[in-house]
Amino acid sequence: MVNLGFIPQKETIPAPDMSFVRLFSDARAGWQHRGQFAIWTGVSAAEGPRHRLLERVSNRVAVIEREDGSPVFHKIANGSAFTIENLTGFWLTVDSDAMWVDTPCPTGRYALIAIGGRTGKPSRAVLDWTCPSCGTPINVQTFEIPPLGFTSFLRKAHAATTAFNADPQLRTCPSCHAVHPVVDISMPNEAQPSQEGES
Amino acid sequence: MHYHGIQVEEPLDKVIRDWDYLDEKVIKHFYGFKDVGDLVLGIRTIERDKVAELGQKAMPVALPAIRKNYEIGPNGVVEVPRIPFSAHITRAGTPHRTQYVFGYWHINDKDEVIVPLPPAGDRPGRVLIIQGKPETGTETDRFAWYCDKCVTLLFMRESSNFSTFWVTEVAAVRAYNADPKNQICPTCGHKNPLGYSGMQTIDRPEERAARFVW
Repeated sequence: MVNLGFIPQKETIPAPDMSFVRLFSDARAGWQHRGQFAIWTGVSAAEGPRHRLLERVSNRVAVIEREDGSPVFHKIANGSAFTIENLTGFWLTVDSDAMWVDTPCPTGRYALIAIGGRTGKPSRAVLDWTCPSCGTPINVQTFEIPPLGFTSFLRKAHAATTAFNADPQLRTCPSCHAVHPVVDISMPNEAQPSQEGES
Repeated sequence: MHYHGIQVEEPLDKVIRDWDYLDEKVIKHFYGFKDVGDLVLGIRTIERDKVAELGQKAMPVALPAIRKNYEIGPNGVVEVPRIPFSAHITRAGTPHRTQYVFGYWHINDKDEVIVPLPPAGDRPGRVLIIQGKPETGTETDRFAWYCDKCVTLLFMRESSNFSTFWVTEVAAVRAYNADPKNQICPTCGHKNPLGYSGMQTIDRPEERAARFVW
């Protein structure tokens, strides 16, 4: 071994993380927080439940889609509360912008959300639920997101959703006292460990 | 959805300005790069199969269908696919290039999320580009040329002010092209082709000729 004056490396020098691809058709990929974005891609069958983006606008709910089903490229602005039907089960507000892509495909629809872009973001998330009667946020909770820690935040969000379902008090709107229905928490938010970090 | 009673009923344009960047009235703002909040976005249209001839009407930044995409990694230059309905994430720091579209290697400090959408009906194929907005003064865009034969770095310019991206990019191209010595590899002696800008509408004749080459 030629030593050019450096301390000999005892272990393999890790290669830098390289570019990677996510196929929209791969429903197993789940969420990944790798590099500067937390990314999720998903597929829904033509006749099945689909992933729709809902955004809360002044205590009302906007459905982000086109009537003719054509592709949508939409920015979820930093500070806007949103949920993705049949994915998250909760409403989320983060301290960075996010982009949403929703497009028809031969088998149904594909969707992508990419959260982040700015150095160190997202670093904070507000999680709540929207009262179906008056649009008031219910059971608002704030979480810090550690660097590259969006998937660990999702585990906390899952626990918060489980608690929300278990206690009708947590599901009661502070404004109109309507009780939010139990939400589906069986939806896969997170990549399986074997998928994490795969190219 | 259990929000029927509180759903926004009016057109989305009334409550969220420019809610869909693919809207025909909005999309033209993204033909180059446009910063929107934390992000910089681009929307590229696959305009024709091949490179446009000089003088032929063309979008400022467009993609020919025959292009290929390349990155430089630990094993040298690799072709990276653009798979319809996928997200290709080019990690920050990776030299990358799109054949016939920009004649240099782009190296930046932001991850780029590239989403190819295939044509459908009357809609042309498009490529969506999502990246964070570089922090002025600390995060850079670099325009570099490597030898085609041995990947030796030949020439590079950099900018840490994204608001002047296109000005810096064109200046880098013209500086590289101005001196033939820049194009000759100091390692292997190979004579490399001229560079060209991502803005095809500003091509000089020799730059357009180079666009057909690589």
